[in-house]
Amino acid sequence: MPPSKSRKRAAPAQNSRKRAAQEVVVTTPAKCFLLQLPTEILLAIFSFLDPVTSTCLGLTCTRLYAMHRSQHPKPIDLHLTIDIGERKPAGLRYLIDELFFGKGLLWVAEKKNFVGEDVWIATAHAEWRKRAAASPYDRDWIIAQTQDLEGK
Amino acid sequence: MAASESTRITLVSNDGAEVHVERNVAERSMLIKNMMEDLGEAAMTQSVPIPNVNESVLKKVIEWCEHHKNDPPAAADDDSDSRKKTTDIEEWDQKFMQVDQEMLFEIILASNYLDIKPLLDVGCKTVANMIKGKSPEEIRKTFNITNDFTPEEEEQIRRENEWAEDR
Repeated sequence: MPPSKSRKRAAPAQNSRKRAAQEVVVTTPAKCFLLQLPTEILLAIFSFLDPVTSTCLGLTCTRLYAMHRSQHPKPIDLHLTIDIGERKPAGLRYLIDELFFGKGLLWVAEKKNFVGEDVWIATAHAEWRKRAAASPYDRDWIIAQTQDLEGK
Repeated sequence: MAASESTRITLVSNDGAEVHVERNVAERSMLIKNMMEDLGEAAMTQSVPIPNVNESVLKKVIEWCEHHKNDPPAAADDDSDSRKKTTDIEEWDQKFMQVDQEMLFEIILASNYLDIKPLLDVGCKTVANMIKGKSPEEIRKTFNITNDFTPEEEEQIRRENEWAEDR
């Protein structure tokens, strides 16, 4: 199990390096300025986030998770898509692993809309197809429900 | 209003620096605007302490106020829904916000303290745009956030969010 986990993580890591190179803020700051903000301002930031992004921010630590849930008391429908910046609307779906701790990160993006990082997307798709074929369920996760990602 | 346009007032940062600024520029800050109204004529002759903001941040905030001094007044508060739907930032503001994280968050804190709502919004949108499209782990790296979930909490969260798949 551990070997396959590390393979899975290899692709996202490459992706984040690639993306970091395109952005202004590339280095991790010396301390966490974000969490020094008072709660009211953090909540204001959450108010600008779509539900999926809010989920991802919430999953970084306990304080932000509590805030995320205060804004989105109901569980998030992870089929929701988000619009990532300059790129085309990506139908980027966080399927759910690192979000869901310990299963390895597996993001799946709709091929037809996604621009860039093709190798990485192909890897994620292959992994998803493999898992969906092996079992529509993975530890209670209904993987088969992600068929919309095939471009339907 | 017209009479006050050329009037200059003096702000004093928390590190003792005097910053001279047109009154109508400084009054983009609701805090300063209210102070001016309370002080009346006295405000023209004495300096106004800004105890929570240092010189470099205060100057940066004033720079924003200068550029936006002729903006139409903000819409009423009940407009908040449409205000929050978009994280688009106008080009000048995007460039203005290209600063390191320490300055970015200090601008946010200062705009909150000085009650400059449109600048606070720009700051929050800038942070929102830094978060978008990132996984939780990438967000942690971007902001140096420590993952403090216990294994039990992780399991709890996983269960909470699994419900979403059944809907």
